Amino acid sequence: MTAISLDTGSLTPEQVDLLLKRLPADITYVDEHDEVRYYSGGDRIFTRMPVVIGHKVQQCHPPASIAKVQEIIDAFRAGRKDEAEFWLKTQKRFVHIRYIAMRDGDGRYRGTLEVVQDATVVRDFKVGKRLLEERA
Amino acid sequence: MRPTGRPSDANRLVELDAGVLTAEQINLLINHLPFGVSFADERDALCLFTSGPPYQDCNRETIGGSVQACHPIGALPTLEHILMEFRAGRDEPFVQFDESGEGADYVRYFPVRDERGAYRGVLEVIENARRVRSLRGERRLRLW
Repeated sequence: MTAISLDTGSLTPEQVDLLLKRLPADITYVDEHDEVRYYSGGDRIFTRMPVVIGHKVQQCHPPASIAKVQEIIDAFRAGRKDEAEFWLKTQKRFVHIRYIAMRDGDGRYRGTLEVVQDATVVRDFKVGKRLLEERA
Repeated sequence: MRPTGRPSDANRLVELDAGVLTAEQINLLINHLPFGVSFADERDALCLFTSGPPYQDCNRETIGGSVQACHPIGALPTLEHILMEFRAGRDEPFVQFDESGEGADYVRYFPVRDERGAYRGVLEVIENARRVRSLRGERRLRLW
């Protein structure tokens, strides 16, 4: 397969897959029509099922949170916000959740990127301590 | 705003494990990640760095060249050690945390392997950890 040219580099489709899966974050991408287009697989913090691909993001959330999800997307689409950030603690983990408005070179809204990270290790680093081989 | 040029093959469809994206969407997605990412393949050729920090001043002409060529000489022993360990089968990332600068850089190196376990390259992920370290309590979706 020929490589895909990017702003600063080029990757084959296989490399895109391997790279996104290896990122220390769970990624979900919803396009400008509010349809789920992609999520990175593997051992996710919040599970995603293949069936969500192509569905409206509004159909993938419990009724209690739909209004908030819609508010965020509306703010992104209108250009009022570029990011929405949340954090919560589970039994063992500190989970950091970011929604990022994706805009193209012309500034048009092109979708929302959800990035979910387990931030436990980086939060627990002690100031002045420098670890080279800590398990991430 | 991050530069997000339109790739020449913008509308090409790329089938991924979970979803089908256009080349343009892949470009946008990678360049909107909230951290810096660079990737060198199994031959140590630099394939990608993201367009925002900390790579905003990196020269695009280094892409395709060896990853060793775009590091200062002083960093080469560490880089070679990381590459050697990953080629030898190490799966755990190398982690460096540096709070001396403004950003509190949290730097991680991951080996990238394919389904058969073959080494396919090294992924560098650089985050500004200051923000996430400063968060207190919780902020859930309903509080937005």
